[in-house]
Amino acid sequence: MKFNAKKALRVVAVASVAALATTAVSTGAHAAPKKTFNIWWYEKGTAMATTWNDALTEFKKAHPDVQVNFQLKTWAQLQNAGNALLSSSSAPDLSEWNKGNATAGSASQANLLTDLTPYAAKYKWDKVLVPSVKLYGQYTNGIMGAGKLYGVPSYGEYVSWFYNKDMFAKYGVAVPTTFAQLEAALAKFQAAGVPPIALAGKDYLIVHLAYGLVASQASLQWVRDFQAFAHPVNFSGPEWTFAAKTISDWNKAGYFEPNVSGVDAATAVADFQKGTYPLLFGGTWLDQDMQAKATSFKWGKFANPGKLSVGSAGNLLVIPAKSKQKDLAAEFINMVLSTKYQNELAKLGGLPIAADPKYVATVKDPVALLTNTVFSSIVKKQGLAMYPDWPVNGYYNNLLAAGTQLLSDNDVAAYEKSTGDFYAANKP
Amino acid sequence: MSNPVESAIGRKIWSPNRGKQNLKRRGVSSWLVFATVILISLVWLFPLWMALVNAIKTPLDFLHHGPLALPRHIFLKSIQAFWTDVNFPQKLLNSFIVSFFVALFGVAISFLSAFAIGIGRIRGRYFVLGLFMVAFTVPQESLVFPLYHLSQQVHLYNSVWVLVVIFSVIYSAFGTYMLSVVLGSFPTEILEAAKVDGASPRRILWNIVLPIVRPTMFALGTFFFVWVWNEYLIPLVLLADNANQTVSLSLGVTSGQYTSDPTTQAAAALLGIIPSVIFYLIFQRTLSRGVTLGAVK
Repeated sequence: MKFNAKKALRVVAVASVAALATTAVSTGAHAAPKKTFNIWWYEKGTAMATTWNDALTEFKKAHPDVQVNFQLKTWAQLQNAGNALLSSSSAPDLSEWNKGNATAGSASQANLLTDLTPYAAKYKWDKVLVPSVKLYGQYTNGIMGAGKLYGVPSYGEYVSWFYNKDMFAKYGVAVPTTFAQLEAALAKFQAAGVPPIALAGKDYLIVHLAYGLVASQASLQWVRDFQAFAHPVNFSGPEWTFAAKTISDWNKAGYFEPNVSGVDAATAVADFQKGTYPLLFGGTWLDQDMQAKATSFKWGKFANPGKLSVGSAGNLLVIPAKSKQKDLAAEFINMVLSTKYQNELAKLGGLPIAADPKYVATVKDPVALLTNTVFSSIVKKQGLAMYPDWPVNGYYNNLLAAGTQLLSDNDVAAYEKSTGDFYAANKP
Repeated sequence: MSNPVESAIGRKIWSPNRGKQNLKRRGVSSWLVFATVILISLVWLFPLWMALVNAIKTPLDFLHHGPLALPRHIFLKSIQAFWTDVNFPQKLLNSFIVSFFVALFGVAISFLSAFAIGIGRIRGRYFVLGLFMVAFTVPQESLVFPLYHLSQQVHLYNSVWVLVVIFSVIYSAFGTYMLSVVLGSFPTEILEAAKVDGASPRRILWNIVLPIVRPTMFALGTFFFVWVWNEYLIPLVLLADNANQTVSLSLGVTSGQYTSDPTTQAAAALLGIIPSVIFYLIFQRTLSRGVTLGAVK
């Protein structure tokens, strides 16, 4: 049981020397005289990631004198430590940033982002950024919708129904175009012993389904009131009540998975991909995963019947106030917005905001075609209702908890009170 | 004199010598204990098993047969992809540096302050201990932004050494508390004998107390090592560059805002767990010594 002190000390000494040596090496590498350009994003395995990578390759060729340091960040890090990163000495020169009041809005309010208005004028971005897209990058006092341009959206996203074509054919169900047809389709599946909707009650899927149903009843004015506080919103009004009541009715009718309030998103998506459920209400970010995994049947998409759909422009590209290479950063943003890379995005199944319509019409990839067709039908019809958690800080957690509760007790009034009270207590 | 730490751990069951004495008259109760221990260890091994079987499955296999089924065939792409995507060896080195130095400095600080409290019996020691108790119950969430601003001011932000400083201090609050309790029950006969022989406090510290509590300190160091290894929030905020990040942060790459990739997640979890398991296997002997050894040899 004797302990060898000398041996232990030797181990400690060797380890310390090794550790110091590695830090010495890493600090030595920073002394390169080249101009450096630090760029971050957190897209991984999406059409955006591929397109941006290609743009970055071209960018590097155009600037051989610039040392480009790309880092793949995580969504969680930018969500949790975003402002701390932006105000630190390690802030990047250009980054993808989460849109919304709580993230890009709060960073703009803290003077951590560069106003891009001069660059927009220089590169004539107003031609590609139509007002309904540009507003996602504009913030006044931290609230999205108007004012200075702090971030540039370069793609779109939306939530719609994924459906299993094989199951629709087998049970003789047509693709619904009205809410009555949708309910009839659900009833038909249920009558045949097939619970129709793969839903996650403890994850974002319930939040999106609830807001999707709200949006189906809502006007653009209602969305402005809800998102930008133009007028007070009545949480016992027809929009909110319709959603809560429909979910509780569908739940009572057994249209969801058993014990739905305990199901997480990964499970629900997998249940659809396995072919167990004919319907899933999900966003365009699931496209690539669907293409890879839902291989045992044919699937399609249709927009949720009604007035508006859940969706928006995608996340932003921002230039932090501490960026040392603002001109280079703006040049890269301009590349991403160019027709060349917008077309590439369309080809890969992303949702470009400024692609050449003639080119998009020639895209043959089935998923890309589907995604773009449904998107243009949504845009053509009415527009996008954004996301429900944007108006106030911490609203996502409240909406999720209330949604989970609604699925376990079907109490519509309690749902309205919980979500309405939180909104009222936290709005500016 | 009984040692509270020791009796809390349950020396009666675990002491190797007692085990040998009881070998011949092992009754029903011993077997019951044995069965319970096996059962508990199976529960503890279950997550590790889940990480292993899912890390070596194809995504489609996972989709169609679920997480519990055995892999249809061995698929190592998830592990490879995660390894290269996050530059895992670099993360491993960062984590090792932080964990190792926190264990070293944390235990050293704990020992010195515990010596003052437990052996030196300084005035107001119960107040100091109470203060330390408060210090290690403060939630990290409330510390993280003050620490962020401090680290900016001392130019240690975005460096692994900032974690070494922070966690050495945070953990030494707990370490001091624990070692003070151990040293508080240190046999006074030995100390008095040393004083009679004319030993200075420094000599008592170095030649008498240190050798006896060394196994306990090793156990404490092992705990510190594994705790730092799993730290998430403070490293997340303080380490901006990927090149400085630790293993637990690199696991974040496997999930996006709405999407997650269960097989890569399992691969990441497996790679994240393995180093701690290896560390435990190497140090388990000092660990069990640390908790079974008494103050009196």
